[in-house]
Amino acid sequence: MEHTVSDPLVDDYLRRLDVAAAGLPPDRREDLLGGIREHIDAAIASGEVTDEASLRALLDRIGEPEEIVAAAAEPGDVQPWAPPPAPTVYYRRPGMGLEIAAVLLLTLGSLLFVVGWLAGIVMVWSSRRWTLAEKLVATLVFPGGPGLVLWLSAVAVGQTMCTTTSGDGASTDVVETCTSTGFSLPAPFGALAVLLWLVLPLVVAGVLLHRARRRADSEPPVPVYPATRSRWGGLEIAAVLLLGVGGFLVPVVAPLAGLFCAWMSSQWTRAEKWVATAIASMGLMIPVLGLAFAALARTS
Amino acid sequence: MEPGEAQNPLTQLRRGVIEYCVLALLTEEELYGFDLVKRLGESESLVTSEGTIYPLLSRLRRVGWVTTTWRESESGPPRRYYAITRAGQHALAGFTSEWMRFRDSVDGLLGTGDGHGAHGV
Repeated sequence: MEHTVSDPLVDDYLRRLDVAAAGLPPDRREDLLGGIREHIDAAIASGEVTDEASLRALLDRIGEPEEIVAAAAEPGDVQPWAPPPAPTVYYRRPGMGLEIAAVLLLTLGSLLFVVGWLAGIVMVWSSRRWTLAEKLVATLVFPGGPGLVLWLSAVAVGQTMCTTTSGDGASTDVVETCTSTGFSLPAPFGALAVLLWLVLPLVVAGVLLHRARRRADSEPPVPVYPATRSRWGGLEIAAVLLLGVGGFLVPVVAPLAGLFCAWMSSQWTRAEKWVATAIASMGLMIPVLGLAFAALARTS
Repeated sequence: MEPGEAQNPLTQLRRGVIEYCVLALLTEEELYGFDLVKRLGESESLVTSEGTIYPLLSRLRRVGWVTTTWRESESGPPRRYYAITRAGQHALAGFTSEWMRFRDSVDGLLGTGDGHGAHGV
C-alpha cells in the first residue's frame, strides 16, 4: 500500500487550503482537508498524474482553496475567510484606579512631604476624567497638600530661634530678635489658614472624586477577556508583598523591586499600576519618615 | 462568496441542485470521492471546481443523507466510500418531483420545453 503522497506542490496547496478554511468549525475543516487529500491521493493512484504539469492540472481542476471554502460556507457560519470567533467577552464598570490613587496621594499622600503630593498631581494631570479647570483647582488648592502644613508647623516649632543682642556701646537697650525658618503666620490668620489648608483640599478631593465617578459611569463598559480575568499571578503577588511589607524590611530596595514587578505585570491595568506606584512612593518614604521623627524627638 | 460570483445565476442554482445529483449517482452504487467527482465531471457544466464537491459530501453526511465507510484500496491509501441512506432517498424523491414541476415551469416560460426531452425523462 502506498503512503499519502507528499510533494511540495501538494503540500503547498493543502497549506493554502488549511489557511483559507480557518473560519470553518474544526471538524468540518478537518473533513474538508481529509477529503481533498484523499482526492489527490486517488488521482495519483489512478495513474493520471505522471509529471509536474499533470499535477498542476489536477490541482487546477480541484480549484482555488478560497473557492472550495466558499462552497463549504453554510447559513449561520462566520464568513469562511473571517478569523475564528473571538472568545466570550465580559464587561466591567470602568475602573477609577488612577483617580482614586491621585486623590489619596493629594490628601493622605501629602504627608510624605512633597513627593506624595507631586505624584498625585502627575496623576491628576494624566487623567482624562477631569477638566482643565478641575485640574488647576486640584493643583492650586493647595500646593503641597494638607501634609505640607503639618510638616512646616512641625519644623517651625522646632526651629524658631531667638537671639538676644545688646545695643551698641552707649545704649542699654536690649533687642530680642526671633527668626523662624519655618512656617509661621500672625496668630489670628495662622489658625484660620491652617484650618483652610487642612480642610479645603479634602473638600476639593471629595468633589473631584465624585465628578470622576460620574464621568467614568458614562463611559462604555470595559471588556475583560478571559485570558486577562485573573489578576493574580506570581508577579502580582510578589509586587503586593514587596510593596506592602517590603518597605519595612528592606528599605528602598524592596519598594523599588515591587514597583518593577507591578509595571512588568501583563495582568494589571495601567491604572492599577499607578496605584502600585503610589504605594511604592509611600514605601520609599518610610526611612525618610523614620529619620524625620527621630530628629523631631531629639529637638523636643 | 465573491460578489462577482453571486451575479452568475447558475452558480447559485448549481449549488442547490448538485447535491441531489450526488444522491442520484449513489442510488446506483457506492462510490468514493474521486470516482464520484469523475462521474459528475462527465456531465458538463455541473461542476466547475472538483474540490467544491467535498464540502458538499461533508454536509450530506452531517444531515444523514449519506454514510461513509473506509475500505482498503489496491492502489493507494484506504478510501472513504459513500452510500445513500433511507433519509437520503426520501430527500431525493422529494426533490425529483419538485424539480420536474420547476423545470416544466421554467421551460414553459422560456419556451425551451417544446424542443426535446421535456416530457421524455
